Amino acid sequence: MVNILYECTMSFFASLCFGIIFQISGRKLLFSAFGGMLGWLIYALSGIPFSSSSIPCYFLAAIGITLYSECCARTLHAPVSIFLAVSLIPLVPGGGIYQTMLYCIQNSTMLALYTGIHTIGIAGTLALGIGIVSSIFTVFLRLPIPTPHALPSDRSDSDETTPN
Amino acid sequence: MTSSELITVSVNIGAALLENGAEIYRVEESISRICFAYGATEANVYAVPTAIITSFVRDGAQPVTRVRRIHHRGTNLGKLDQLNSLCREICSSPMDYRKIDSRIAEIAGSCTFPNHYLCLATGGIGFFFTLLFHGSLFEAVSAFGIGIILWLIHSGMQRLRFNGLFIHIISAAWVSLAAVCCYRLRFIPTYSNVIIGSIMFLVPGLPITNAIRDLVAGDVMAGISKFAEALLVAAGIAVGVALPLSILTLLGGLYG
Repeated sequence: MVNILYECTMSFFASLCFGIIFQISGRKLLFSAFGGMLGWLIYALSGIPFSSSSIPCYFLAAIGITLYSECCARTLHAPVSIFLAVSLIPLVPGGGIYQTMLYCIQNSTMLALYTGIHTIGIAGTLALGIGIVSSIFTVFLRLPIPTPHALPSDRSDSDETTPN
Repeated sequence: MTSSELITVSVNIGAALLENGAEIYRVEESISRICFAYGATEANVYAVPTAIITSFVRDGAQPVTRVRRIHHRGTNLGKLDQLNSLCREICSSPMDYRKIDSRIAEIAGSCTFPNHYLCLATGGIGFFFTLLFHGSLFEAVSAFGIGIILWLIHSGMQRLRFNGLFIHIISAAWVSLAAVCCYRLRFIPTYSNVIIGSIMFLVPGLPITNAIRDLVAGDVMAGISKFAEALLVAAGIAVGVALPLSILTLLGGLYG
């Protein structure tokens, strides 16, 4: 438990640094950094029931951060990607890319393939989690674009157009 | 506002959004909302990561069309947020051309954090990610130092307009070279944690997020091209890290 708490604190500060790199200001910076902590917390806590594989943990974490980001964006009136991009960063499998590459140059092709496919699986899972929640939100909460109020006006400007 | 002013303003805002890392649907929606707010009866916008095509009709006039090519894209979510709220303001209460133009210029020149903050934050990313992956304090401190120089290399090459892929290869090569040097100087017990922690700065987090969101919104062309870009960057990072490691293994300097 202390371990999880330590990791969450670290991912909070790591996300905070990323928020600074992305030039997010004030309150939004804190909220986005908190998203990074939330993502890691869900990932670490769901590691307890799903101890055999990390894929479901990544899926739950992706769903959690997308829900959080969509809610933050609606309450703070800011684009969703501000919160989502920063919250996602601690979950991105940078270590997986590194291990795959390391096995490749050590000539252990089987291990490289195994790690590579696992890394792609994690990336795909994160994409799927974000995609599912985002599409639900776009369907139910998209603001209607104002429709043109007078359609017959097309006819009036055809008088002005010069024939080519 | 005349039609030519309207199209200039809306395309300028759209281009600024796209250049600072907005999703495609946000660009298209912002431009068409602004056009409708100033009395357009029909507005069609087509945006891809490298270009914007806008066309609108106001009653009784000829259609107006404009194409804008986007040459370089970066990530500045602070500007993106400000542009987004400017767009909201315009749609709720229309302003005149001069005012909007000065607001756009003001946002383009604004800067939330000065450069030395960004430099320290890059070091901080290395520091905290190394600790997150259970590295020791010494590893974290060396990742901090590597991160600071990494930012100088990365931003310097960006200012010189190098190709994005090349920037990532060189930056990743610096990270692994410096980490192996620290390891050989017996400053840190292993180099893996430092490398993984420091390359997190280069990982394409926002392009992946935006690619997914574009695919969900139905902008298939933009989504796939951004995905390809993100994969290319990831491959570039892997190649960059591998370069010094494999050369040092050949020379026999990595172990021993």
